[in-house]
Amino acid sequence: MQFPTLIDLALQIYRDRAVDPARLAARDAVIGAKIGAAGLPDECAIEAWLAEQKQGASSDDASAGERASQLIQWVHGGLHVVGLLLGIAAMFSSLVFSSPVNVVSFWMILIGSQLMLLVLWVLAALPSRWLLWIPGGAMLQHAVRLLGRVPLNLFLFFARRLSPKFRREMRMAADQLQGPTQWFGSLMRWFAVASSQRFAVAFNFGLILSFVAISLGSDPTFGWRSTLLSSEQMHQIIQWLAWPFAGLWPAAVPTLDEVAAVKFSSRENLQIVLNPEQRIAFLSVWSELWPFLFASLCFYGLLPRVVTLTISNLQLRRYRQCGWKSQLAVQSLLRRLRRERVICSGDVDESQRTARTTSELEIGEAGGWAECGPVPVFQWAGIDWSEQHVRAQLGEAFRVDVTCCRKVGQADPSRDREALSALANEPSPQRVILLVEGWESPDADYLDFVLQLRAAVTPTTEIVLVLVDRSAGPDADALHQGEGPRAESIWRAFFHRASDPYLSINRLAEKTGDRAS
Amino acid sequence: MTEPRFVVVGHVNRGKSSVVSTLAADASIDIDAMPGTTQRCHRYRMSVGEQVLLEFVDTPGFERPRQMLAWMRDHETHTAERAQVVWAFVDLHRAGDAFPQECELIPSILEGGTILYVVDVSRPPSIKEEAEMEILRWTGRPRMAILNRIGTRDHSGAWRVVLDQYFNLVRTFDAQRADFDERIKLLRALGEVNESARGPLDRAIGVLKTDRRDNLSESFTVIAHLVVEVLSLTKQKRLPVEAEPRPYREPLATKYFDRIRALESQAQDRLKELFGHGRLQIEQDQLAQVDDDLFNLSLWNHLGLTSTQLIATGTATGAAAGGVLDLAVGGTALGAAALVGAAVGGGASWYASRSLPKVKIRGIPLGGQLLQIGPMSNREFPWVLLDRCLLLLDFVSRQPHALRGHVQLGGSEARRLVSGFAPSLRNRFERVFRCLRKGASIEEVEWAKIELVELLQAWWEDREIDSA
Repeated sequence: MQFPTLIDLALQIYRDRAVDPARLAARDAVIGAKIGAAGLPDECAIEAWLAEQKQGASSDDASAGERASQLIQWVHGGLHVVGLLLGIAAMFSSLVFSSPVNVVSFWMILIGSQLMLLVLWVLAALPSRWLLWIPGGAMLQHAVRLLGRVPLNLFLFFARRLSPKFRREMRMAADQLQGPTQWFGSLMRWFAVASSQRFAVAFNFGLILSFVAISLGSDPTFGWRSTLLSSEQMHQIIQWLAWPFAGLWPAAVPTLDEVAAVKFSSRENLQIVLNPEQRIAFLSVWSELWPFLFASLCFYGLLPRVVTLTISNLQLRRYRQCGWKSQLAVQSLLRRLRRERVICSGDVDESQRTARTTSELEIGEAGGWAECGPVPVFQWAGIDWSEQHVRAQLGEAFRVDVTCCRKVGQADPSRDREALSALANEPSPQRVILLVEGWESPDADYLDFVLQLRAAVTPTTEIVLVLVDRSAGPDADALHQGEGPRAESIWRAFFHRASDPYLSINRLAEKTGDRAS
Repeated sequence: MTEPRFVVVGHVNRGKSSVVSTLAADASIDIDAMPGTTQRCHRYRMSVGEQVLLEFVDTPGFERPRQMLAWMRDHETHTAERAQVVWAFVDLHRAGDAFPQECELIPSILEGGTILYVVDVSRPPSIKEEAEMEILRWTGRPRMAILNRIGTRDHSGAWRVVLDQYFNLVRTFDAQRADFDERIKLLRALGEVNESARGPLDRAIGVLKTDRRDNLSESFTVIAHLVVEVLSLTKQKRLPVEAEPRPYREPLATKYFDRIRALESQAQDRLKELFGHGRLQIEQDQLAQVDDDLFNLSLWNHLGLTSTQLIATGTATGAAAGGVLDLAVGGTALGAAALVGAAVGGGASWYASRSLPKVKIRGIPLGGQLLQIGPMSNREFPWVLLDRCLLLLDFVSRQPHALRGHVQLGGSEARRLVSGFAPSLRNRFERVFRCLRKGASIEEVEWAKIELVELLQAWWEDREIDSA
């Protein structure tokens, strides 16, 4: 995946953090289906997804990632130029022509300091826990890592000079990328390392280039001076330093005689009078250390930087190729794009939903069972009591006499009409009882019957719906307690639609006895 | 090819909408104890993208089946033409108001629907229901009966005797309790009733299983994010050197604990949404209060690991860390480092499981004070958090969509899930928690998330296999 795409991906994922996950899932399911994400490789799916997002935003401008990438190229170019110039300047300032160049200080300043920086670089790259045992190690590492942020801050500094939109996006990206628990932090770390190593490579290249160029067009001489080191010790040190490249380039390792011959002192002020041949031979002795210095510059200066640059580039490449796939946020995104989400959609319009209110108290309370004459009883199918049992139950529960007991609600609805006709032919009673199963749900069939019953009696005749409650009374077990009152409230609410002031509902707990008809 | 259509019919208030809600995994379907909640036919389409897999039709209940059957019998001409008689009934009464429910539900059946007749086995069969079954037989459509149970009584024996006479297949399906497997079983059974629907049903079952797997994966990601975010959460406040830090401690701690609660709440909402239970009110005990200075046993003692397990896990991870040192010195320490590691790990688990993190004052190199709370040092906390998430996930992933209202989770009756983890799995979880506790790097945080997802996935799969 290209760097601009990675930046755009990071930014989009960051923006998506604020979006409701359900909406995110729906949005990405639509985009996933549109781009055919299921059949695309990961990278292509992400790129197509980003393209869709960009299209959705209807912006023709280059994306933040593309602009950032252009800026990065400029920054890298700048680092190369500045590194090269600084390297050349450093070499010019290190070489003197009035006296031999002191190899000890030359090596320490131009190569030793770089080696020290390299050690710090390794220190920054090591896992923190490895340094816990070294006093001050973790602090040093922290400091070095802070220094590593300089290139990123430089980059952001330049970014701020661009458009406000880009500045805002980069600020978002910076918040995200710098956060310790965010997604692309490791990428940015390696990016910062790679940028610093680009600079270092350019710097070393400048050093070597100017070293060769100056040596070609001028005659710098190299010697050494030291209060503490003897020629033997100096030769030993040079041998150690030259050990890595001695096998490749034996001439780069000076002999003891050559080392001894170029020792000089700041106190020397010898006027040597030599003929031209002797003068040439004398000068060639003072250039014997040049191969050693050149090899040192290449081996200790340029080569490690090339290696670190290669490592950081490889890390960046690895991340760009597959590292981003290991981010859980990216995995989630790919899953959202590819998954076949099962959606259940109903044709119910929300406005059609009726606001249901509990209206169980809207129908009048059950009748007071005031004294009245004998009452006719209808028993709905399901209650197969004998007439004697009906009399006994109602007599005991409500102290009423039953004149007759008719069965209704049977399979043949014409029998209901017959029963009602028979009632209509009798003197109008003060009260009529309809026995129904308490556990039944009230429905239009019951309502129809009650309305027909009303038509068969006077408007003031009390119609009592008695719900036979088998969850109460001596037969009931504890498990079914409470079913009766619940059923009664449902019946009350249902029969409210009959709008009959002389209709009441009561419950009857059945007592044991000969119930069969 | 048109999608198979299943028309759910029955008498009023027998749980038809509940059955549709559970089968279609749609919690938005109106369900009420009052009869007549469903007044019109509603079609619920289960689809993937543009492709409709199945269609369920929720119908109003039969209200006057005796009268309808009587009319049909009066107009019967020939056994082979009974379906036409049913059509004739609908055509005649459609405009009137004598049989609105019947005229609404019958066309869905006659237009090629497979009948799912729902009965409530907590009530005995009634004459009206016998009439309904006879009407359905007259339609000549493939049909299956579902024994649903709304109340507490059980008349399934009586029902089976009756239903076997009218239906090709009779199945028990408790819409209020059926889990995903039972839902799949019923869908498979529907294929037995209607041969032509078997192909689409198999496809739908496959898609539903994949969808569930994807939902679970997404849930594990949500939980992993939550755990990582909570365990690595810190809140800081910078103060000048001369400032008195005391007034700032409590607000900072409040902010910290509130953020944890908010993160947990967001994750829980997401888990519910993933399984289509967004409207379900699930109550869990609140996380420990800010002023809980010590480990709050009353809230946590039934969640997370037991004390023994917690110490054992700490001991094991400590021993593993010590073992690395032993290996580094070539075994010359004779396992002493492992022993010390085990003792330190066990002791730390015992001690650090007792207190919640407190606001600490730290110096800033360039002057001033830094008040900081977090990351979460309590060893038991991640286990409690994980247990709460898993309990919720377990619940919402199994619960049928017909279940409505409030549900209490995490009460004293709740079972721990994490304490059932195998010791090796526990130790792997603890390694992740330990890594997060000590302040993980970017790579470690990513590793922790992915490791948590994998561990949860592995645990769930093992659990499914065990339960199967």
